[in-house]
Amino acid sequence: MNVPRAPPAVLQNPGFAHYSVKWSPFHTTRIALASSANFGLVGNGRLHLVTVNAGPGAGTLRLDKQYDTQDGLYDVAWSEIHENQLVTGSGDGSLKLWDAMLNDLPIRAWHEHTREVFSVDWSNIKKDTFASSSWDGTVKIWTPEHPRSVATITAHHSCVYQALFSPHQPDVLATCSTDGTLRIFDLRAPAYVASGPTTNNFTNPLSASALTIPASNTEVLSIDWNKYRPFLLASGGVDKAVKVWDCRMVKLGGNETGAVGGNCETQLLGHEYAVRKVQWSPHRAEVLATASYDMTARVWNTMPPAGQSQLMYIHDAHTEFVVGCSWSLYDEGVLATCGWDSRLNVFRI
Amino acid sequence: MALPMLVGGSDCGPSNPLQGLSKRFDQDRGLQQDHFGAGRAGSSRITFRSAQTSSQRVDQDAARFFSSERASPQQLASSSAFDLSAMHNSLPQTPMTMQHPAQAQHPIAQQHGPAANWAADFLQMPAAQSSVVMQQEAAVSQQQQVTPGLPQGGAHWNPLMAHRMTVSPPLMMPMQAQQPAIKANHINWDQEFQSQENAIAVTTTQQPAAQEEEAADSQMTQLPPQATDELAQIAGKLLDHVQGEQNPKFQQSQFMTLMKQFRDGEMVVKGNAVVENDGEVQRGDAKGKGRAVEPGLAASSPQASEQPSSYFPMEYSATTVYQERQASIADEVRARLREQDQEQGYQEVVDENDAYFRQENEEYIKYWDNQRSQPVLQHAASTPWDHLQADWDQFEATTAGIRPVENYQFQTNNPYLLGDSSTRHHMLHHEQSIYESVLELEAAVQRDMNNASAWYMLGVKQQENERESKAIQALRRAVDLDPKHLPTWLALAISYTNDSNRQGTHDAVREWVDANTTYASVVQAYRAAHPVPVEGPMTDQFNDLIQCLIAMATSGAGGDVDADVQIALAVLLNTNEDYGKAKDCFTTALAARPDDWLLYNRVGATMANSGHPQEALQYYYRALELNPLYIRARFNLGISCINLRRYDEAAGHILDALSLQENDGVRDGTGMNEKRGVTSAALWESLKTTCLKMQRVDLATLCDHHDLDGFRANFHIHG
Repeated sequence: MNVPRAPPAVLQNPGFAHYSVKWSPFHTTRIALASSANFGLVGNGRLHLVTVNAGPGAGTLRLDKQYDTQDGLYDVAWSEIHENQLVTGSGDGSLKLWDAMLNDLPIRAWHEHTREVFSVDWSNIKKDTFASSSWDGTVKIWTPEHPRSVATITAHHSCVYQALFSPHQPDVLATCSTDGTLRIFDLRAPAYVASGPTTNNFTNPLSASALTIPASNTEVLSIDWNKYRPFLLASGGVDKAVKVWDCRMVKLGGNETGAVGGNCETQLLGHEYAVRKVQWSPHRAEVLATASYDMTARVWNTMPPAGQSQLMYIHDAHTEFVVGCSWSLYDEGVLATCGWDSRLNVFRI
Repeated sequence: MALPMLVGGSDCGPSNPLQGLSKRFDQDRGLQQDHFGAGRAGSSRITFRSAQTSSQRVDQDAARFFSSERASPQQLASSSAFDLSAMHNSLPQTPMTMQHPAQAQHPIAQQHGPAANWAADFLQMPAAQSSVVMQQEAAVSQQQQVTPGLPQGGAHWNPLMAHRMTVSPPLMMPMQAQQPAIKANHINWDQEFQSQENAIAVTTTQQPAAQEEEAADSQMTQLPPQATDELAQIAGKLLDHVQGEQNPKFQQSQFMTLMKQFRDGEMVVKGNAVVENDGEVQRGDAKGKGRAVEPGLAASSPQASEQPSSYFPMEYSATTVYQERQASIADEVRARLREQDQEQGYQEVVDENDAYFRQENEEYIKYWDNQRSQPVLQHAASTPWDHLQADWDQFEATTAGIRPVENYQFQTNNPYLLGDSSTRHHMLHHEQSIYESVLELEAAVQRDMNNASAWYMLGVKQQENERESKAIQALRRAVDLDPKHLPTWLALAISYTNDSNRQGTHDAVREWVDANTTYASVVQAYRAAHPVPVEGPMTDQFNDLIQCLIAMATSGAGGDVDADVQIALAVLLNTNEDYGKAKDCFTTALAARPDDWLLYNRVGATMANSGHPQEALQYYYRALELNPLYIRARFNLGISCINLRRYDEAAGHILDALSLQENDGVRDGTGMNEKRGVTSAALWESLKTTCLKMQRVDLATLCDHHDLDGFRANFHIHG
């Protein structure tokens, strides 16, 4: 299974545990890394911009720029509309917009979340829009131009670990949470769970989701939309399993809300600890990369040819928890992973 | 921050313990800043001093409480066997806990098996090490020496602890049986213990402080012990979780090393950085016993993150160094305290307390044993009370006047009471007038308190005005006076529905059916065919009643379409959350009474409840066309707008509703203190929610103050 390969390109940023890695959608060789001092327990954060240089094997990595922040950074997303801009989510609940051409300071900052912002995602359909999800239970929708959030969705009553726009439908967003569910929201539909005689949602309103998927008994830490098959979602979490959900039964735009469903198409078992990140390949509909607290990143084929294993590759080079992975958008089969060992690895599957 | 994500699973339950962790950190920082803000060690000393005196006073209070309790433990227990809140409150401050924190922690440790036992032992030590608690350590061990019988004391403790944790009947159960509860309260326990330990440590130092002030002060370190301890616990838990891990990567992991150091108290979070526990180091140095502790993270560089090198050196064989140091310091303190004790007779005090608490515990155990062994006796004792209660219930049920009906509170200064009543009389010709105000109707009732129809009209008006509790009071009064008045029963059923009182709804509709002479024969026939046990479950009763109403509707006894039957049916269906059918019934009723604004509102509400706020709007609009002063429809319209995310509009409607409610009040002549109409809290709550959705925190604050004028003034200023 693990045929000998060229060793990964490595970049170490000592003192900062990496929390998230993203390839630029505009430049073939650029990578952004969000990281936090002290493993994200307390202290500063840092945003790193890295370039991949061509070379033997996976090439070499060069740190171009870094930006320091007051609080740990937990996620980063590249702008889909501006090649040099990125947004980060931070432990103090703030979001910051950075411009890679400038030094030191963010060009914009927002602070509405009351708890840690754990994910940010830029819509690649409505390219002026991005979303953030926070431990305060809300997902907020933003545009760079507005000083305040455009919309707030009270998605769960507990931590929302990730919120992701659908790559196929505008205004459709999926979330995952401590409560073990995935939810799909249609931002155009009525906003709130109806308040009946027995339920009061006025004082503690919960946004109405188009579909709720009871994915796990414990926390779901990460989700991703399949890039080729609409309404196919992968999820990973504390239960160590990676699950692929067929959610085509969701009814959008209608008045029917609060549906519960989701058809678990595939389960990928193998990680020994919680799965922290799942990421579909942008090039192949059936390929999925995962990062886990068992200190490995793995690549899976969700629909393997008969007789072959689902597991395609185990990347075992990290020496601490692996928490982020991202596929190159331009170079098929090139994966970047990052972890709490302060190392960024880029390698070819 | 993601440790519990890793741990997850069985240990941590549904809540995210990490939230607690991060909260700790916030607290921690705050405390730290306070400390460092003071600048010098001297001022922090002063802080400690004042804390000492206050906590001692609390201790005395608590002791007083307990001594009185001891005088009559039986009385306490029998009068409030399960209401132990008072005790609960007083316990944490009680010197009782001085007895043995270490032992009380043992049950916790045992749950996790031997390995965790070891871990739990460690969990205590960092706490002791990191702070004031240092002396507590010594004090405890001293007690151990002085009173070898203490292990028993620890056991006696259990029933009391059980009280604090679960105020549930099986209080006397042995500790093992309560383990789940203990587990759930694990963190609380530890926190409380920690705080108690602090209190004790403070009192302990109090005495030496008189003589050896210098020494005592030097022992106070700067770390909030509780926070550190919590972190240590989480780290310990995490380590337990990965304990069986064979993967060498985990053994070499720097993160795991850091967690170990947290657990063992070698590293602490200080401000915004993770640093070595320098309080300990300083102390050691001062005594000339400092070990060659490699300052991986020098305390002199608070911005640890700036350091490029790896700050958690793996070769750091921390545990041994730490243990050595720990042992030597503990010995020293112990020795010093012993000297002091001999001088001050401190030992006596300890013994006295000890005896007192042991006795206390024994009495408690005896009491509960008795309780358990004599259940029959207890029952016998309570029988007369049961009789009395039954008698009273019967009496209450049969005597209408005695039933504790909340009296309808009339508004004061009602001008309609002053003049003659002629203005009202001509209005009585109308069946239902929209122009009557609540005050007029209240005046009418007050003139003739036994007029059922006046009470009924008042009730309906209060319903329209979105004051449900008043409506129910008025309608109840009306049916008491005239149980045959059918519309009242229906109105009451609707009020109960809005109040989410299913039983009330059912009963009211049933009364309506029973009192309805038109359908008497139909009902009789139906009941003969479908006998239902009176005491059946709620759903059965509901379904039976619904079937009965359907039978009534289909019988055609009341003409073509009897709107009232349809309404009754719709109300029941609505309560059953069968909104589709309820809507059908209401619309059928509407066909019979096309001008009834109440009906339009009900259809709208039913639609909205079934998740179709868009369609509900037109019904509300129609209701408001027919009766522009219909507050409830206006409020409902606002709520539907909220659900459609048209917050601006929603705020407007709710504001209108509030204004209407307010206008239904009285202004007294002076104009100095106006008596406004009673606005209802539900409206304000909804308005506040709307404002929050509009990102208008300023307006939401005004909602909290029920400041209608202020709200109106600010509403159109966009902040």
